Amino acid sequence: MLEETLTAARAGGDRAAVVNDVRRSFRSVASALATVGAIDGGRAAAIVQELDDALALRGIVASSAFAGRAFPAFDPSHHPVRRQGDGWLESEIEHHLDLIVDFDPAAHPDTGAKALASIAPVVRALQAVGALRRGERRLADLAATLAAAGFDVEGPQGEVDRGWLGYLRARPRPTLATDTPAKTLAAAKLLGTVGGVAVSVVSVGWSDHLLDVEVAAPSTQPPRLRCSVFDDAGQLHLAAGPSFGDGGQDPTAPVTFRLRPGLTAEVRSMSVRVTAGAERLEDQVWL
Amino acid sequence: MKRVRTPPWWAGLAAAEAAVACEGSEHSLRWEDGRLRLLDHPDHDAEQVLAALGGASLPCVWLAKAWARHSTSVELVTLGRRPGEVDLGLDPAVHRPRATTEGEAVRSMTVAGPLPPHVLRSARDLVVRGAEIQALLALPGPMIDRLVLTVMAACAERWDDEDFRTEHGLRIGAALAGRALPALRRLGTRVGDGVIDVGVSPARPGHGPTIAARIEPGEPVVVSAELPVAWLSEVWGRGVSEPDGAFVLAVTGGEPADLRVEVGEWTRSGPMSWEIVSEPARLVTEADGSRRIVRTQAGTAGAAS
Repeated sequence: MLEETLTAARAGGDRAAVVNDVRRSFRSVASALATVGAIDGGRAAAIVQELDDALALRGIVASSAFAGRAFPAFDPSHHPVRRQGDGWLESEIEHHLDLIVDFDPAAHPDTGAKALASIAPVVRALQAVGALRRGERRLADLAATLAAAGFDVEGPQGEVDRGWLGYLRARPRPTLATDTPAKTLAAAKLLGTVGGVAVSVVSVGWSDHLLDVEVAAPSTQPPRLRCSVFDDAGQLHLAAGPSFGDGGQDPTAPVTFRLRPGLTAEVRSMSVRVTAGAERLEDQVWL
Repeated sequence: MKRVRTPPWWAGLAAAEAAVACEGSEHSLRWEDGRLRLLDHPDHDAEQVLAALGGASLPCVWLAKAWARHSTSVELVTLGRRPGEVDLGLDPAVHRPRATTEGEAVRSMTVAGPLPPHVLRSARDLVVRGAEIQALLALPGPMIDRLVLTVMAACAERWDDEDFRTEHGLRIGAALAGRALPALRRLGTRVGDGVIDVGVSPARPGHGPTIAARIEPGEPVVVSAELPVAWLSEVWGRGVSEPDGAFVLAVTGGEPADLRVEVGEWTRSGPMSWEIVSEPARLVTEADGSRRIVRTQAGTAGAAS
């Protein structure tokens, strides 16, 4: 993988965008492999640094990126995948959909292909270590969905995912810092546990434009969470930005995810999905 | 019959030099015949002993020590040159080495608060190692190439060791693929058109190179190769992997200007498959630097005129 990345970066020469894409992709793959437990976090960080060292040595990235650290040898003990990555892949695709939705396919038809190119190496790597059951299929579904939304895509196409397509077609506007929910509801819904940490929905708030989901995962080392919602009217809602906490530096405080679009009047219940690493928790919240 | 001796991996490689600021003047390091020499420190072994006993460590001596220490650092094969790369090395003009002696490297450490001795020792080792690698990779490109080839030759020597293979096989396999892939792809174009899909892995100890190709209608040509790890230092490192349109599998003897080599030739092994067979040849380097392959018959390579 490092050899392929190095070759791609060298082919990019001094085109910074190509090199940055290649580095980002490599980091994503390393991070995904660590997420499913195929390699440990230290090894993932080391291999990312090793790529930077090789690029710095070739003058492709700034020489300040060079560390010259000792890199751990390949761990000869069997390192089985500890977690399946299908849940993680779903949330990763949703993350990309939320980035793509701001682009008009008529004006930027290549955005879809770029997203696929960004996800494909991760899917390939996870599939290679046996951490995905439906990786290639979901990638093909994404290709079909992006094509249906009007983007140019290449490669095999599967089935259109109606939730994803609905989100892309809705083209929800970005939320503003000044937006506030018109309605709020205390939910207190336990979704499940991740790594021994109980994850629950504390409250939801919504308006026409936004949907806030407050999630608690009380721990001194809280897992990194992602959140999405699928409502009973068939609309997918994705986080338009990072979560924000109410507790300042307090890691045990709940965090609020701001999703878009908002809820319509006919919505009565919604499925809240919270992803922590490779784990995905999901449950129904009634309004 | 005249006995043909396999030349060492470094035979025929040009000498390389580097200038080092040392003792207030510019000193020279010279790599030649597989060894690094300090031209301005004729008795550098004694100076190393003095430094170890607490005497002043000199930049030249420190670099020589770092060179020796990292001559078996397998990760250098990952950092080293790939085919077609011209410039390699940290530019000292923009990347000032963080130390020129071990003492400087240790003094560059920032330690917040008291640490247990073993933690301090391991942090110190990390800092010194990083400074050594950085200083070595700020040497001119030809010196870096020779250091990496030294490591590759050391890897080939240790390839028989199962523990070594288990620990470093993945890295060495990737490094081998990175160097051999372009040449194997070109080799593949001789039996098929279009996309050439190449897989390379290190051959098991004691096994020679094997290369096969499979061509199915409408599919990419698939070339699978197993090359000995020694191919890296003995063939690729010498720059003789593709002379005169041939693919060199191994260097078996001779002198730098007249090497005995094994070259690969495709032969059909089935309706849709090909394999490489090895044929002896001489690789002659002419006075103008050009190279030509002289085919010889099996068993007569040493006696060919």
